[in-house]
Amino acid sequence: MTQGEAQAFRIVAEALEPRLERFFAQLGVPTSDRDDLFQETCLRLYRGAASYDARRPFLPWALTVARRVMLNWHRARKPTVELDEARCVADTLRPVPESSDADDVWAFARARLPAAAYELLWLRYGEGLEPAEIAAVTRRTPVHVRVLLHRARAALAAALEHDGTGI
Amino acid sequence: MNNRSNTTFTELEKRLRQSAPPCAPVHIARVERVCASLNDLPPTGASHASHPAFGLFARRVAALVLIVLTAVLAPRVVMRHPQKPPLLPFSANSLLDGLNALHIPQRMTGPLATESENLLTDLVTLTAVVNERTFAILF
Repeated sequence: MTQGEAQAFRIVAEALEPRLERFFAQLGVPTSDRDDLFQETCLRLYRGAASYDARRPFLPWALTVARRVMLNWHRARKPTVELDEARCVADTLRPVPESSDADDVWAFARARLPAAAYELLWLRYGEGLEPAEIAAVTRRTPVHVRVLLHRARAALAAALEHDGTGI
Repeated sequence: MNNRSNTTFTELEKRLRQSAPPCAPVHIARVERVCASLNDLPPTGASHASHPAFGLFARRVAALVLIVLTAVLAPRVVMRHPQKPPLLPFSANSLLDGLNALHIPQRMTGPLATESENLLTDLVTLTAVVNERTFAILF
Protein backbone atom coordinates (compact mmCIF):
# COMPACT_ATOMS: atom_id res chain seq x y z
CA MET A 1 0.00 0.00 0.00
CA THR A 2 1.57 3.27 -1.08
CA GLN A 3 1.52 6.51 0.91
CA GLY A 4 -0.97 8.07 -1.49
CA GLU A 5 -3.29 5.10 -1.26
CA ALA A 6 -3.16 5.21 2.53
CA GLN A 7 -4.05 8.89 2.60
CA ALA A 8 -6.86 8.42 0.09
CA PHE A 9 -8.22 5.50 2.04
CA ARG A 10 -8.12 7.47 5.29
CA ILE A 11 -10.17 10.24 3.69
CA VAL A 12 -12.74 7.75 2.45
CA ALA A 13 -12.86 5.94 5.79
CA GLU A 14 -13.32 9.17 7.71
CA ALA A 15 -16.15 10.20 5.42
CA LEU A 16 -17.80 6.81 5.60
CA GLU A 17 -17.50 6.09 9.30
CA PRO A 18 -20.39 8.28 10.53
CA ARG A 19 -22.66 7.09 7.72
CA LEU A 20 -21.93 3.42 8.31
CA GLU A 21 -22.18 3.84 12.08
CA ARG A 22 -25.66 5.30 11.65
CA PHE A 23 -26.59 2.69 9.02
CA PHE A 24 -25.58 -0.22 11.25
CA ALA A 25 -27.23 1.36 14.28
CA GLN A 26 -30.50 1.87 12.45
CA LEU A 27 -30.55 -1.70 11.19
CA GLY A 28 -30.14 -3.21 14.61
CA VAL A 29 -26.42 -3.98 14.89
CA PRO A 30 -25.33 -3.69 18.52
CA THR A 31 -22.63 -1.18 19.39
CA SER A 32 -20.15 -3.91 20.28
CA ASP A 33 -20.24 -5.35 16.74
CA ARG A 34 -20.24 -2.14 14.71
CA ASP A 35 -16.48 -1.78 14.96
CA ASP A 36 -15.92 -5.20 13.37
CA LEU A 37 -18.51 -4.59 10.68
CA PHE A 38 -17.01 -1.22 9.82
CA GLN A 39 -13.54 -2.72 9.57
CA GLU A 40 -14.75 -5.61 7.41
CA THR A 41 -16.66 -3.22 5.16
CA CYS A 42 -13.63 -0.99 4.69
CA LEU A 43 -11.40 -3.95 3.88
CA ARG A 44 -13.86 -5.18 1.28
CA LEU A 45 -14.15 -1.72 -0.22
CA TYR A 46 -10.37 -1.53 -0.46
CA ARG A 47 -10.07 -4.95 -2.04
CA GLY A 48 -12.91 -4.29 -4.45
CA ALA A 49 -11.88 -0.76 -5.36
CA ALA A 50 -10.99 -1.89 -8.87
CA SER A 51 -14.59 -2.93 -9.48
CA TYR A 52 -15.99 0.48 -8.52
CA ASP A 53 -17.40 2.46 -11.43
CA ALA A 54 -16.31 6.05 -10.78
CA ARG A 55 -19.17 7.38 -12.91
CA ARG A 56 -21.65 6.22 -10.30
CA PRO A 57 -22.18 7.66 -6.83
CA PHE A 58 -19.96 6.17 -4.16
CA LEU A 59 -22.38 5.92 -1.23
CA PRO A 60 -24.77 3.33 -2.74
CA TRP A 61 -21.79 1.15 -3.61
CA ALA A 62 -20.41 1.44 -0.09
CA LEU A 63 -23.82 0.74 1.40
CA THR A 64 -24.17 -2.33 -0.81
CA VAL A 65 -20.93 -3.72 0.58
CA ALA A 66 -21.86 -2.73 4.13
CA ARG A 67 -25.25 -4.39 3.80
CA ARG A 68 -23.69 -7.64 2.60
CA VAL A 69 -21.25 -7.58 5.49
CA MET A 70 -24.16 -7.00 7.86
CA LEU A 71 -26.17 -9.86 6.36
CA ASN A 72 -23.19 -12.20 6.74
CA TRP A 73 -22.92 -11.09 10.33
CA HIS A 74 -26.63 -11.82 10.85
CA ARG A 75 -26.23 -15.29 9.35
CA ALA A 76 -23.18 -16.05 11.44
CA ARG A 77 -24.78 -15.10 14.74
CA LYS A 78 -28.00 -17.05 14.52
CA PRO A 79 -28.77 -20.68 13.66
CA THR A 80 -29.97 -21.61 10.23
CA VAL A 81 -33.73 -21.97 10.01
CA GLU A 82 -36.31 -22.17 7.26
CA LEU A 83 -36.87 -19.06 5.20
CA ASP A 84 -40.37 -18.28 6.48
CA GLU A 85 -39.25 -18.79 10.03
CA ALA A 86 -36.11 -16.76 9.44
CA ARG A 87 -38.15 -13.66 8.81
CA CYS A 88 -39.99 -14.16 12.08
CA VAL A 89 -36.72 -14.81 13.89
CA ALA A 90 -35.22 -11.66 12.41
CA ASP A 91 -38.21 -9.69 13.57
CA THR A 92 -38.20 -11.14 17.06
CA LEU A 93 -34.46 -10.75 17.50
CA ARG A 94 -34.55 -7.20 16.25
CA PRO A 95 -33.90 -4.95 19.20
CA VAL A 96 -37.05 -3.05 19.90
CA PRO A 97 -36.38 0.40 21.28
CA GLU A 98 -37.61 1.08 24.74
CA SER A 99 -39.60 4.08 23.67
CA SER A 100 -41.64 3.41 20.57
CA ASP A 101 -43.25 6.76 20.97
CA ALA A 102 -44.89 8.02 17.82
CA ASP A 103 -43.07 11.32 18.29
CA ASP A 104 -39.94 9.48 17.18
CA VAL A 105 -41.29 8.19 13.92
CA TRP A 106 -38.20 6.09 13.21
CA ALA A 107 -38.39 4.29 16.52
CA PHE A 108 -42.10 3.80 15.93
CA ALA A 109 -41.45 2.40 12.44
CA ARG A 110 -38.74 0.09 13.73
CA ALA A 111 -41.10 -1.28 16.34
CA ARG A 112 -44.08 -1.72 14.04
CA LEU A 113 -42.76 -2.58 10.58
CA PRO A 114 -41.03 -5.74 9.35
CA ALA A 115 -37.25 -5.48 9.13
CA ALA A 116 -37.21 -5.44 5.31
CA ALA A 117 -39.76 -2.62 5.12
CA TYR A 118 -37.91 -0.60 7.73
CA GLU A 119 -34.63 -1.07 5.85
CA LEU A 120 -36.18 0.25 2.64
CA LEU A 121 -37.67 3.25 4.43
CA TRP A 122 -34.33 4.00 6.01
CA LEU A 123 -32.43 3.76 2.74
CA ARG A 124 -34.97 6.04 1.04
CA TYR A 125 -35.56 8.70 3.68
CA GLY A 126 -32.68 8.23 6.11
CA GLU A 127 -29.86 7.82 3.62
CA GLY A 128 -31.62 9.71 0.85
CA LEU A 129 -31.10 7.12 -1.87
CA GLU A 130 -33.21 7.01 -5.00
CA PRO A 131 -35.32 3.89 -5.65
CA ALA A 132 -32.96 2.80 -8.43
CA GLU A 133 -30.02 3.05 -6.04
CA ILE A 134 -31.93 1.15 -3.37
CA ALA A 135 -32.66 -1.51 -5.96
CA ALA A 136 -28.93 -1.88 -6.60
CA VAL A 137 -28.17 -2.01 -2.89
CA THR A 138 -30.84 -4.57 -2.08
CA ARG A 139 -30.64 -6.51 -5.34
CA ARG A 140 -34.21 -5.87 -6.34
CA THR A 141 -35.73 -4.25 -9.39
CA PRO A 142 -36.58 -0.53 -9.14
CA VAL A 143 -40.26 -1.30 -9.68
CA HIS A 144 -40.20 -3.82 -6.86
CA VAL A 145 -38.53 -1.28 -4.60
CA ARG A 146 -41.18 1.33 -5.43
CA VAL A 147 -43.95 -1.15 -4.65
CA LEU A 148 -42.35 -2.20 -1.37
CA LEU A 149 -41.76 1.42 -0.40
CA HIS A 150 -45.38 2.24 -1.09
CA ARG A 151 -46.50 -0.68 1.07
CA ALA A 152 -44.11 0.31 3.85
CA ARG A 153 -45.36 3.89 3.82
CA ALA A 154 -48.97 2.69 3.82
CA ALA A 155 -48.29 0.31 6.70
CA LEU A 156 -46.55 3.01 8.68
CA ALA A 157 -49.31 5.51 8.02
CA ALA A 158 -51.93 2.97 9.06
CA ALA A 159 -49.99 2.16 12.22
CA LEU A 160 -49.73 5.83 13.08
CA GLU A 161 -53.45 6.30 12.45
CA HIS A 162 -54.27 3.23 14.50
CA ASP A 163 -52.07 4.48 17.30
CA GLY A 164 -54.16 7.62 17.33
CA THR A 165 -51.27 10.00 16.84
CA GLY A 166 -51.80 10.56 13.16
CA ILE A 167 -49.13 11.83 10.82
CA MET B 1 -59.72 9.98 -1.12
CA ASN B 2 -56.73 9.70 -3.41
CA ASN B 3 -55.70 13.29 -2.75
CA ARG B 4 -55.96 12.68 0.97
CA SER B 5 -53.78 9.58 0.62
CA ASN B 6 -51.18 11.49 -1.39
CA THR B 7 -51.15 14.28 1.13
CA THR B 8 -50.76 11.78 3.94
CA PHE B 9 -47.84 10.10 2.20
CA THR B 10 -46.21 13.44 1.41
CA GLU B 11 -46.47 14.52 5.02
CA LEU B 12 -45.15 11.16 6.18
CA GLU B 13 -42.18 11.39 3.81
CA LYS B 14 -41.46 14.90 5.03
CA ARG B 15 -41.64 13.78 8.63
CA LEU B 16 -39.38 10.78 7.99
CA ARG B 17 -36.77 12.96 6.29
CA GLN B 18 -36.84 15.61 8.98
CA SER B 19 -36.68 13.22 11.90
CA ALA B 20 -33.84 11.04 10.55
CA PRO B 21 -31.16 10.98 13.24
CA PRO B 22 -28.04 12.92 12.27
CA CYS B 23 -24.65 11.32 11.85
CA ALA B 24 -22.42 11.18 14.89
CA PRO B 25 -18.94 12.75 14.78
CA VAL B 26 -16.18 10.68 13.23
CA HIS B 27 -14.84 7.98 15.50
CA ILE B 28 -11.15 8.66 14.83
CA ALA B 29 -9.87 5.68 16.79
CA ARG B 30 -11.98 3.36 14.66
CA VAL B 31 -10.63 4.90 11.46
CA GLU B 32 -7.08 4.56 12.81
CA ARG B 33 -7.65 0.88 13.50
CA VAL B 34 -8.93 0.29 10.00
CA CYS B 35 -6.00 2.12 8.43
CA ALA B 36 -3.59 0.13 10.58
CA SER B 37 -5.20 -3.13 9.57
CA LEU B 38 -4.84 -2.17 5.92
CA ASN B 39 -1.10 -1.74 6.36
CA ASP B 40 -0.90 -5.29 7.66
CA LEU B 41 -2.69 -6.71 4.67
CA PRO B 42 -0.63 -8.87 2.34
CA PRO B 43 -0.38 -7.30 -1.08
CA THR B 44 -3.38 -8.73 -2.85
CA GLY B 45 -3.41 -8.90 -6.57
CA ALA B 46 0.37 -8.76 -6.88
CA SER B 47 0.57 -12.52 -6.79
CA HIS B 48 -2.27 -12.84 -9.26
CA ALA B 49 -1.27 -10.06 -11.60
CA SER B 50 0.64 -11.35 -14.58
CA HIS B 51 3.65 -9.64 -16.04
CA PRO B 52 2.76 -7.39 -18.96
CA ALA B 53 4.98 -9.39 -21.27
CA PHE B 54 3.27 -12.63 -20.33
CA GLY B 55 0.27 -11.97 -22.53
CA LEU B 56 2.40 -11.35 -25.60
CA PHE B 57 4.52 -14.38 -24.83
CA ALA B 58 1.46 -16.57 -24.38
CA ARG B 59 0.02 -15.39 -27.69
CA ARG B 60 3.24 -16.16 -29.50
CA VAL B 61 3.47 -19.61 -27.96
CA ALA B 62 -0.15 -20.30 -28.87
CA ALA B 63 0.45 -19.22 -32.46
CA LEU B 64 3.57 -21.39 -32.66
CA VAL B 65 1.75 -24.41 -31.32
CA LEU B 66 -1.09 -23.82 -33.75
CA ILE B 67 1.35 -23.78 -36.66
CA VAL B 68 3.11 -26.91 -35.45
CA LEU B 69 -0.14 -28.75 -34.93
CA THR B 70 -1.34 -27.78 -38.36
CA ALA B 71 1.94 -28.95 -39.87
CA VAL B 72 1.70 -32.28 -38.04
CA LEU B 73 -1.96 -32.97 -38.61
CA ALA B 74 -2.28 -31.83 -42.19
CA PRO B 75 -0.04 -34.60 -43.67
CA ARG B 76 -1.97 -37.19 -41.68
CA VAL B 77 -5.19 -36.04 -43.21
CA VAL B 78 -3.63 -36.11 -46.63
CA MET B 79 -2.25 -39.61 -46.02
CA ARG B 80 -5.72 -40.92 -45.33
CA HIS B 81 -6.56 -40.09 -48.92
CA PRO B 82 -3.38 -40.73 -50.83
CA GLN B 83 -3.07 -39.12 -54.18
CA LYS B 84 -4.11 -41.31 -57.02
CA PRO B 85 -1.47 -42.11 -59.62
CA PRO B 86 -1.51 -39.82 -62.63
CA LEU B 87 -3.75 -40.86 -65.41
CA LEU B 88 -2.18 -42.65 -68.24
CA PRO B 89 -2.51 -41.25 -71.73
CA PHE B 90 -5.72 -42.44 -73.18
CA SER B 91 -7.16 -42.67 -76.58
CA ALA B 92 -10.27 -41.06 -78.00
CA ASN B 93 -12.17 -44.31 -77.69
CA SER B 94 -11.35 -44.68 -74.09
CA LEU B 95 -12.39 -41.04 -73.57
CA LEU B 96 -15.70 -41.73 -75.24
CA ASP B 97 -16.14 -44.83 -73.16
CA GLY B 98 -15.44 -42.74 -70.12
CA LEU B 99 -17.94 -40.12 -71.22
CA ASN B 100 -20.49 -42.81 -71.74
CA ALA B 101 -19.84 -44.01 -68.25
CA LEU B 102 -20.20 -40.46 -66.95
CA HIS B 103 -23.40 -40.05 -68.88
CA ILE B 104 -25.29 -41.95 -66.16
CA PRO B 105 -25.34 -39.49 -63.24
CA GLN B 106 -26.59 -42.06 -60.71
CA ARG B 107 -23.27 -43.86 -60.89
CA MET B 108 -21.34 -40.79 -59.68
CA THR B 109 -23.68 -39.88 -56.81
CA GLY B 110 -22.46 -42.55 -54.46
CA PRO B 111 -18.68 -42.00 -54.79
CA LEU B 112 -19.03 -38.22 -54.66
CA ALA B 113 -21.16 -38.36 -51.54
CA THR B 114 -18.69 -40.70 -49.87
CA GLU B 115 -15.81 -38.44 -50.80
CA SER B 116 -17.66 -35.42 -49.53
CA GLU B 117 -18.42 -37.16 -46.25
CA ASN B 118 -14.80 -38.17 -45.85
CA LEU B 119 -13.58 -34.65 -46.48
CA LEU B 120 -16.13 -33.22 -44.07
CA THR B 121 -15.17 -35.69 -41.35
CA ASP B 122 -11.51 -34.87 -41.81
CA LEU B 123 -12.16 -31.15 -41.61
CA VAL B 124 -14.25 -31.51 -38.44
CA THR B 125 -11.62 -33.70 -36.82
CA LEU B 126 -8.84 -31.30 -37.72
CA THR B 127 -10.77 -28.29 -36.45
CA ALA B 128 -11.69 -30.01 -33.19
CA VAL B 129 -8.13 -31.07 -32.51
CA VAL B 130 -6.72 -27.63 -33.29
CA ASN B 131 -9.35 -25.92 -31.15
CA GLU B 132 -8.81 -28.30 -28.26
CA ARG B 133 -5.06 -27.77 -28.26
CA THR B 134 -5.38 -24.02 -28.67
CA PHE B 135 -7.90 -23.64 -25.85
CA ALA B 136 -5.83 -25.90 -23.63
CA ILE B 137 -2.88 -23.59 -24.09
CA LEU B 138 -4.78 -20.33 -23.77
CA PHE B 139 -6.95 -21.27 -20.79
